[in-house]
Amino acid sequence: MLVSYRLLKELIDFSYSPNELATKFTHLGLEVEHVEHVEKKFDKVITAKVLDVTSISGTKLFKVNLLVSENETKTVITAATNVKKEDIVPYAMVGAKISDGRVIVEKYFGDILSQGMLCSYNELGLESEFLSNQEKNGILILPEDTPLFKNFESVFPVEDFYLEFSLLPDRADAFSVLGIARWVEIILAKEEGRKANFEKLQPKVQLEENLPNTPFEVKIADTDCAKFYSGRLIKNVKIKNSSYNLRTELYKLGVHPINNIVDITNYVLKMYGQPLHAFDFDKLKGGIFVRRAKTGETIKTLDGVERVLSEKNLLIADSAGAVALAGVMGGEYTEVTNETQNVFLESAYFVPSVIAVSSRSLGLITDASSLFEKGVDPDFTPHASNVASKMILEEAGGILFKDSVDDLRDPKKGVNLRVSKAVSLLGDEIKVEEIKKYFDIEGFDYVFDEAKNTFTVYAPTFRQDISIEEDLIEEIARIKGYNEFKETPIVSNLKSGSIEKIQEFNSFLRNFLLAYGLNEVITSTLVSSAMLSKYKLFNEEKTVKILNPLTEDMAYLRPSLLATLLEVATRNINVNIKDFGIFEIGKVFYRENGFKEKFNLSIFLIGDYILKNPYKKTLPYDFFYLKGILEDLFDELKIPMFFEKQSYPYLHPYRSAVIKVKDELIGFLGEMHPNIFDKAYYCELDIEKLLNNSSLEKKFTQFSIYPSVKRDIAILVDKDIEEIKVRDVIRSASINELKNIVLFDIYEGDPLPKDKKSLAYSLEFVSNERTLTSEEVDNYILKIEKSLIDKVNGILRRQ
Amino acid sequence: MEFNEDIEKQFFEKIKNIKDLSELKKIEIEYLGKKGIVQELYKKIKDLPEEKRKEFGEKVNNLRNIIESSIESTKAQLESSLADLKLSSEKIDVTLPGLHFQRGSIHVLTKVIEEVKSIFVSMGFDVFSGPDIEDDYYNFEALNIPEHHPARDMQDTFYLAQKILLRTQTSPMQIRIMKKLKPPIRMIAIGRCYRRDALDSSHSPQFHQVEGLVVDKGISFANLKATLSEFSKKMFGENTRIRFTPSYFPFVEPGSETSISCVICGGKGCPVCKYTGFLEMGGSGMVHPNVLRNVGIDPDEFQGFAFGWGIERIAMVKYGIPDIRYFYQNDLRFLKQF
Repeated sequence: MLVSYRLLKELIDFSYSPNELATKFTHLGLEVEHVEHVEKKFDKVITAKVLDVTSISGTKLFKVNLLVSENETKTVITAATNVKKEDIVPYAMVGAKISDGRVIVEKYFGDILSQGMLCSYNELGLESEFLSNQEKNGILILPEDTPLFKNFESVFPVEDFYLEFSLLPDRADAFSVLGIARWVEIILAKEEGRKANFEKLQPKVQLEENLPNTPFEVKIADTDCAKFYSGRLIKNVKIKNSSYNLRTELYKLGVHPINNIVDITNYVLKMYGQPLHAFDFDKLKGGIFVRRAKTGETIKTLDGVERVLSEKNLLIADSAGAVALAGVMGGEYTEVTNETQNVFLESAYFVPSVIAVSSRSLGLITDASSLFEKGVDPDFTPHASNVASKMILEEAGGILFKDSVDDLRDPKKGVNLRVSKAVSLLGDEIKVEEIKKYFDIEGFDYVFDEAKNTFTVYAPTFRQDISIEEDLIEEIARIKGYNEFKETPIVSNLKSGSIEKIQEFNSFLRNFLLAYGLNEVITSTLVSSAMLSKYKLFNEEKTVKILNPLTEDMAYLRPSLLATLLEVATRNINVNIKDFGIFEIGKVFYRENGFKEKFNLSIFLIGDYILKNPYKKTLPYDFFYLKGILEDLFDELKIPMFFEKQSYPYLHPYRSAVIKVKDELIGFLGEMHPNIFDKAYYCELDIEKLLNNSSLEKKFTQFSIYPSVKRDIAILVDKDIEEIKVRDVIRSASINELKNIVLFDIYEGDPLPKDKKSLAYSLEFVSNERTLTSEEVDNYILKIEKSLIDKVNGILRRQ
Repeated sequence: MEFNEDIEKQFFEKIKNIKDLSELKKIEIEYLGKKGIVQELYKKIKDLPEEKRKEFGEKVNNLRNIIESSIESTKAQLESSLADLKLSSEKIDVTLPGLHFQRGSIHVLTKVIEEVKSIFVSMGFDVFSGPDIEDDYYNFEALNIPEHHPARDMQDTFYLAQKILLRTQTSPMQIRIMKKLKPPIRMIAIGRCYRRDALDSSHSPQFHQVEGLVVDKGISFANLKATLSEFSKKMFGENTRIRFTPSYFPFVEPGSETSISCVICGGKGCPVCKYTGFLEMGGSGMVHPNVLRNVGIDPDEFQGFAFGWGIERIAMVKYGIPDIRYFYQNDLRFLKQF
């Protein structure tokens, strides 16, 4: 919300600069995001009157004669088509400067000398949002009662500061210039140590007494939806452009002028925070009823949209049906038009939650609805009608009637405050006298019961944020200043903090992978279906869809970490970073009897892990590097697992495997499919399953005090046999002393037979009782050899 | 052979110019061998008159000792210079670069989260995370934000189904924890949150928050101030000051926006803090009595405070990161800086 500093100063006398004021507001909880200084961007532009306009034959130009002072005329050539006799226009004289920096000079068009220029809003550098659409096309035509021959900036409030407020929904009282001015009064009251006086800020309007009654009944039918309704007839009005005076006020409020009646309702809304509505009286039939809509009832609103309603919507209806969406938007049929002669003016207080539900159920949020849903000042509502009526008489003429009213407003209720509760909640000593002072500053009325040490507080009716004790405590803190309270550490029984298991486990995984030189990444959980489809990860039934995505790019929750991790890889490769290992620990989502989420771990490797150097060969990441990390991890977690060949759409069909613990699938790994990435490796694990199967408990195990004996053997087996089978056979020889089996060479080719391969193992034997003798080890080898022959048709190769 | 002083002199003459161990060996044999000069001298003893034998014998002993120790020391000298010669041939250029393996890194958001956790754990807080997919009840309803409440506009929400959404804040964990545990409660919850905000340099549709909640008898605004002040000093440095300004969150009353003194200018005003001297970090306040009632805690018996700060915001302030998008792009040149 933008508020004109100039307007505030007109309303209340204070001496703060715009920035000082902004800081004071922010400290009170009315945040000013920034202060915009609007300076005039022109010079030597005055208001002048058009005497005549003649078109110049053979051109699209017009010759305009202007009266530029009481007794001086000037001739200007213009291409604009919207200027006519009697118009008042901004005239840039010779030597004037306009907003784009141009200086106006005399200029001949044929044989006619143009002595200046008529200006458009653009040429004056005015904010276009302050002008009606009409005015944007061509020369700015000023209201007919604009003072003549004056510097433009002296008749139009061009130069100003605008305070941009970022107000929160509980500050219902501040969404108007009057509301902001009241807070200036509070600032002043605090400074001067007195009670705030809001009375002086109220517009003072006294209507004639013996007005005729509005010949119309108004009735709040659903009494839980509205607390006050007033409607009044104003007969024989003249709909036209607003006067110069009103236009300058609208300009300061940032309101587009439309016509005098609409402008007045907008003025009261922006200035005083009370939305009004004007109907064309002649289109209303029989009376006004405030009632809930029936399901299926329709109304065509001002914006031309035919809306189907439900019981969530509140209506203003006449005897024929809906005429307006109460508190949200008027109906098109009863709208005030240029032909309207008789106006019916509504000022009402609708129950905030009713308007919130009504406007939101239609997805229609308007200036009016956003004020009503926060809560307007019910005490001002009747008065707003008077203020607007008086303005209408001034601007549009007509005959005023007395308003028809249905008043169901509750009497003002007091809110209790226990001093002890305030002290306890704020955690600081605070005296009764001090509290009284703060309540005075905010203009609250109160009664203090000394025996009970309790206040009963009556806040002004515009303070709809005050309804419970804690609200009053906030006001004490607000006025004293949040930063004036002391800081006191919590006093409590000593207790240590703990971290939930899954977070501890994830931290362990991170540190484990860090030691392998991998980099942690954190990627988006929001992905597109295209991205998932690319890797065949999209599954209409299982993938979680967002009903109201911001963009198609982020319309789904990721079912896997693959797609986003590959995106990170691509991003880095594109900037020529080609050797890296990355991992992510993050949530994935799926549907299975509802929405599910779980943590997964993914790793992606590409390029070399030992980079180009003068000492050693470069070493590339490969399948077995990745598998090694996983084997180490499972070993650390004491999870017995195994790998089985398995293909995945995005992995190399002959270089991928599933990881299982018992019969449970816990993850997979493989080389990326060469169509996606060349020589890159990926794995993804289910962290929850990992956690459930793991044990991070450490306990000392006795190791042998005797030296071990190492023996290398080479075994000739069929080429197609899986290595794990050979290792299992060696293990199956059940030799307790065999502590370690390390495969260190695989050989195929000459001089071996074509269908054979040789596997070389280093076997380590150790006994807990003694140093093993060579003979003992020979016997073990014989035993192993026998197993190999029996089970895998293996032959021990002896040199 | 006559015993005379020349033998010793000659020996030293010879050994002086020795260059290698084999020459030394020859000299050793020449003087100390079985048929060497010293042995020859011993053999002469028996030819000497009785009274001179002892003196002569002593002289030969003496000579042998001198020669022996001299050979020993020469040998040691030769060996050491030989060893040095060998080592010098193995000379390397110590200014050559070292051999590097790939070195890993932990994401800066994780680092910040770990630091936040450790500070709060040290103050006795329990740490939780909670689900990303939430019920409307926990995310809004129980937090005193009924349906259609204007405050819902403050947080534009992603929906997955009727009343099922992606949490817009970590505050639903206040409800989950208060429903699970009895006061005294002292907890933080850290996790990802989602809002329908377009991505720009300071907004992201997903971000992380740390939520804090303390509920006990007599918990006060002064306690909230002390806790966040202590946290800020630990996180951003001992000179950090904290500022509270009135604000509105439906689940706290009084409610506050919390800022810290600008880490760049220390509060004097600079472009980073937009000349305010302070950086907004998040909301805080005293738990609203309606929220306590919603979870069955009597607000007349227990009071509480809560706060919610942005993790990305903390990271950006602490490390001077100018754009929130860096966190999710994962450029290795970014990741490796932390």
